[in-house]
Amino acid sequence: MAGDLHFLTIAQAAARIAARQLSPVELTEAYLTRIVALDHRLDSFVTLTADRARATARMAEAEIMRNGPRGTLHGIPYCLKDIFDTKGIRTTANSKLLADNVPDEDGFCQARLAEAGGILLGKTGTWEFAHGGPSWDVLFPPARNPWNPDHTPGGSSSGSGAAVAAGFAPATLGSDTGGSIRGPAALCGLAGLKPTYGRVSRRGVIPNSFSHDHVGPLAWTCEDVAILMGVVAGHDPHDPGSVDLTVPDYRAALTGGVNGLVIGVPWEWLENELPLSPPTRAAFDAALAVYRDLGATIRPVTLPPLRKYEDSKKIIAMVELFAIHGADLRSRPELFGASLRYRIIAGGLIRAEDYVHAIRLRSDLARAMQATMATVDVLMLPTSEPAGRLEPVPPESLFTHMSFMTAFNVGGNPALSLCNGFNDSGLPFSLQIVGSLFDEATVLRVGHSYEQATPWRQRRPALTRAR
Amino acid sequence: MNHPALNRDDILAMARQIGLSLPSSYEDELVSAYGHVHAMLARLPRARARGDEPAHSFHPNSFLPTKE
Repeated sequence: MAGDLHFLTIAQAAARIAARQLSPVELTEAYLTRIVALDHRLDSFVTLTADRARATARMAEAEIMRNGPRGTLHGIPYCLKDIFDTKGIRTTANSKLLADNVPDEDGFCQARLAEAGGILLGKTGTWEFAHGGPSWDVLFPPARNPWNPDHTPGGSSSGSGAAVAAGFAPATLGSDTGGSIRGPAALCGLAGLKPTYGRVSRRGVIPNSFSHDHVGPLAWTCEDVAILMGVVAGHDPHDPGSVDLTVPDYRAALTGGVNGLVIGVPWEWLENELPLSPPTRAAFDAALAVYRDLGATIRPVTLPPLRKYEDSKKIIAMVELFAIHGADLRSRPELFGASLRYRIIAGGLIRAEDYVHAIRLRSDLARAMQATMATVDVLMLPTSEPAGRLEPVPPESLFTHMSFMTAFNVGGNPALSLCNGFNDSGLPFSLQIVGSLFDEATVLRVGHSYEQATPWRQRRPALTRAR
Repeated sequence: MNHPALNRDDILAMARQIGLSLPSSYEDELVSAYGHVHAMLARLPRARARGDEPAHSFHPNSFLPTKE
């Protein structure tokens, strides 16, 4: 079984550790060995902290042998997107501007994960400042998709998605401003949750757009995502966006199934505004059939056009991005990758009046979203089409491209992506489940029910194709 | 007022006003990117009541001193 350690879920590994059948040292070594052997094919890690991980694992092993595990995450390895501040460990945001940036403090989530006894394996690749990419003119090359290294793992939490899918770590955190957790989760066949805005602290995470930034977990299963949420969710008085609400026991809430649940589908988006490819439509219809068989009711819902959500988010975000990066754009624009520079450079020309109109539009759109959510238990739609080839994209694609994800950054609702099958090329399809504000528990329960009813969690990437 | 279209000279003049003295090689980037921004701005609804509250987020409690 030693050869299979890298594909254990968090829940499985934690059970073995608690039963003293598996040592955190053995588990950590299994991941480090696999990363060293295979990550040259994927470029998912940008910094490997092997010595520190081994030392932390030895401490965890000793403590667990003495007192038992502190919790489910004690002795479990994880990796972090390279925009999460890690004390004493380089945190670059994949930008030449931060090539030598070593934070003095851990961010909120890293502190929580360490306190829970997790073992940090290293930092994973990101699009530059979690916004511009994929890029070949920044600090590190873009990560690749474990299901086929010629394809993209999505962005911006690219390395995080690739690393977990490849069996380099069972857990990671990403950030999501317009889909950066759910996109990599979708393209890499993982479960990835963008929690409600304010549910998980963003303190110590390099910002993209303050008013749309979310932090959340990616893992192999919804159960693992629930475990990670139990560690990182909660109020942080040092994050002005953090909300002081009771955090439920997400893992305990996975039981109960979906019988009687009402699922809303925004067909206008899927059929007219951003039509699905036939294979993605077929996979989505099949997923809905599974939910019908489990006792749920499917109902059409209407939301404002996707384009309005995209416009509102992008105008607000460009203003915020320019406020963050304006000084560097003025003094050393050549240090930005071309993709990111194109996406933010015009933000300084947006008038204050237009900015306020954009956040007024956000008010309209958020109200419409919450009014629709009040009529159903969850929304369901694909997260995205399967992964395309990894190649440069036209920089203007930020402005012209629409997705099924951004609307839920605008509304702030919790949104989960999970795997709902594979296409003829072996690349994952994805299903997005959206909940009412702060109801991550229902979203995870709905996702978990699907995973339990389908075979998709049994398939792993072979990682046999050389680059 | 709808959002006014700007020509290349207008865009570069506005950039200079905000302190963006770009190398000429980046000027095309800025002009091209602004074209897409303009399209978004032109689509923004603007007929609003005076009291139409934007989705800003200022919660004074968030800035109370905290106990360490």
